[in-house]
Amino acid sequence: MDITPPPLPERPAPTTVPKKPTHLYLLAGLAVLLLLVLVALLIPRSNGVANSSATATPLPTASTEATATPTATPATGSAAALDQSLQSLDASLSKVDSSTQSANNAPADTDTAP
Amino acid sequence: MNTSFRISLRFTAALALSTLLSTPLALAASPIPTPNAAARLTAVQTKGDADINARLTSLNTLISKLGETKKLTTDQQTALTTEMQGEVTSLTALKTKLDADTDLATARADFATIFSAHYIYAFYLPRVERIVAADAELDSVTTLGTLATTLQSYIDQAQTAGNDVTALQAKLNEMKSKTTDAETLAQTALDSLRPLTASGYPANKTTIQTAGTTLKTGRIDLETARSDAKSLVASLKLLLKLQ
Repeated sequence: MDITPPPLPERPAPTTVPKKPTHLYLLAGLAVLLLLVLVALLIPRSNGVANSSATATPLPTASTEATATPTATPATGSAAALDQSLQSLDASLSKVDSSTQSANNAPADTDTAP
Repeated sequence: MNTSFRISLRFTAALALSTLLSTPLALAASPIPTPNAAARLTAVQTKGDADINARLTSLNTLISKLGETKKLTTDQQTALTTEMQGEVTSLTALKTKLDADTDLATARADFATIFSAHYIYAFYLPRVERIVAADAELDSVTTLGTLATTLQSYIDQAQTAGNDVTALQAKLNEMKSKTTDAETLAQTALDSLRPLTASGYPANKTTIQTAGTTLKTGRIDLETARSDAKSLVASLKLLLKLQ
């Protein structure tokens, strides 16, 4: 009588739980962050390159700055410019008065022979 | 003998009397002026020269003022200046003629034309001075227009900053309205004065006077606009801290 015990079922190979590579996650995160920073830094530069390859944008001139919508803080000299306009107005009105007076006070145009 | 002597005496007396009576008449008819007439001739010439010189000074002042106008076109300016210069030439020639006159009657006739043929004070001076006044009113209109644009931008800015600008806007609207009225009046006066001529005087005297009234009304409108502008400038300087 064969009393050899039946072969034991093959024990499954012990499953090895892989160790979590936390350092890899950290590295990947840092890489993404670095990439974002690089992208953020490169966007304005790439725009500038694109503009420079096309027609160069002229620098704002004094005239274009002057016609710009006034900002919250009016430019220095605004009050002086207004005062100057009022002075010009006064000068013109003074001319009106002077000529009107001359017209109204014209001497008599009659024969005054001695 | 006695009879013949008497006749001779009577004849001599009659002759003497006739000579005495006829002498003044003969002198009056003579081209050589008496001392009295010569003095009167000089007086007329002196007064004539003074009157002509005064008018020449006025004409040159008008020419100078026309040169400083800003709203008349070049053609309008030239036409008016040419008119004035024509009068200067004509009066200068009259002065030369008057100074050369040798008899009182001619001198007096020439003297009279200083007034009757030129109308410098009656026509030219009131007309051209009012044209200059109309031009100055139109120049004021331009200044007020530019000022209104600037003030509007400051009012908008004050409103954006959260200020109540109702009163400021109402004042600016009045300023603009009065400026427009003044412009219409000044242009009307100018258009009525420019075509007038001295040959149309005194019939066109009324037109000159009406233009004066029109300009006076325009001046009142401009005064209101000026007052509004000054008030707005003061308010906006404070509100926006303009420097």
